Amino acid sequence: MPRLHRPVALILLTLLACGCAREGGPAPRARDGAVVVELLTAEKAAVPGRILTLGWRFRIDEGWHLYWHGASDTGVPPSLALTLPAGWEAGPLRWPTPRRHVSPGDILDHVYVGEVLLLQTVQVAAEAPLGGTAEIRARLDWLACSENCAPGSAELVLTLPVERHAGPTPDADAITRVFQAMPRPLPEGVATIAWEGADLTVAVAGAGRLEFYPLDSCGPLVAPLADAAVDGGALRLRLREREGHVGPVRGILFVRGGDGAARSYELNIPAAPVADFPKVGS
Amino acid sequence: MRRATILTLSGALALLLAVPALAALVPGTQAPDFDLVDTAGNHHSLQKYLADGQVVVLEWFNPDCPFIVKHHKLHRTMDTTFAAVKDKGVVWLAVNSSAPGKSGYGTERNAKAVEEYGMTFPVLLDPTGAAGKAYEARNTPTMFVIGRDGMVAYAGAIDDDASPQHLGETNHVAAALAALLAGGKPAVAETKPYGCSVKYAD
Repeated sequence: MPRLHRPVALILLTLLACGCAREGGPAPRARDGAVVVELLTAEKAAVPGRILTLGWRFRIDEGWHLYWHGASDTGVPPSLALTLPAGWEAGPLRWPTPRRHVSPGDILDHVYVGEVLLLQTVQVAAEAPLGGTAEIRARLDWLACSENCAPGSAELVLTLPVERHAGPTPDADAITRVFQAMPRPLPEGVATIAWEGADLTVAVAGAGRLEFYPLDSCGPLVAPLADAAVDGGALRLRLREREGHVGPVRGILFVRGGDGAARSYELNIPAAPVADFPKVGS
Repeated sequence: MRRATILTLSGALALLLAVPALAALVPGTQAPDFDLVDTAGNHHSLQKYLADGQVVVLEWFNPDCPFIVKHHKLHRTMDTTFAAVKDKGVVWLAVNSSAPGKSGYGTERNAKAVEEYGMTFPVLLDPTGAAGKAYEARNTPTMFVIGRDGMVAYAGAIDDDASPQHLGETNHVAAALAALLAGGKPAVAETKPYGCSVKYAD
């Protein structure tokens, strides 16, 4: 078996890294400051008319964090500008459950540390020509913070073969695990939800810890720092009245069971007029 | 009238429950007084400016925050907005609540920033964070426009683009100042501020 010349091997590696057809090659990636971003796919090729699953993996240096897309006191979430072949359609970005990050001065942020994988599905055009290649271009912008903050950005290009069938990539398992842990609609019977005045109690029998992560569209909370995370099975959120209403209560409910298993649910409780409640404080 | 009642009620509740407030100090609240020293050693007292009949703009500041760099270097939002109203009885003060040892702290660092950014207004130092906490400032920048009556007329972001690079389409502070100087009230009195965290002491 002939051995490749080192320079030849290097050139081949360089060609693969610069992104040409993905099959088997490394995923496009870039570092800027404290963050490495990488574009993964769950499938080895794009299949006309089918779904392609993208994973935007951010590896974040120790001591730094990136921001979730929902409410935080400071910072901004990563943003993505995607250029797809004609007729392809991107779905919304899906964000894993973040964690709380409290800074001096009662500053509450919802962040990712270490590594986060944002997921996105893409509908491949039914008429995408078989046997050709398709190019996905992305411009990503983010803000990473530790003691200081630093904006970062990257441009990634992924070229995928367009084929009739596509097997899973080595990243498919990681993508599936993150997908399975994504917040899902709250099933009937998991939580008991009760209003008392302008306070909302969310109780989950047997839970060891509950956390609530409000979206930007959530009505204002009186004290998210004090209220929105609790050991035990009952979370009491105090809502601030706004124009005669409280709520809506929208966000992620994180539940750690007594057995340690973690689940996340979407909480979506409509706004309610204050007049409907018993007098506050009574 | 009804609005005023609600504000008073929620204000009373907030005190009663002794919980940290939600966002920056809300419009309609009396602006807390302060007496702070700038990088050149000059004292600035809110009460004195108000007694002189000035409208006061406060900008929470940290020279090492990318959002401050955005509005002082990439764009000259703050100085341009100030220039338009400088001769109309408006005072603009940057306030830095970074604690000792934290990002953006200190007379020297901020004196350098005034020069580097070509700032046309002073940076006041609040190393204890007392003024920052009185205003419930969590972001740099957080903007306050204080009317001649001493009430907060606008609290929130400078504009409507929370990215660290791009300018928004609406400059909320310019709009609030225009309304106040014309004898009216800002149409938008409160927005969510955006930026870095204020670097209070641990």
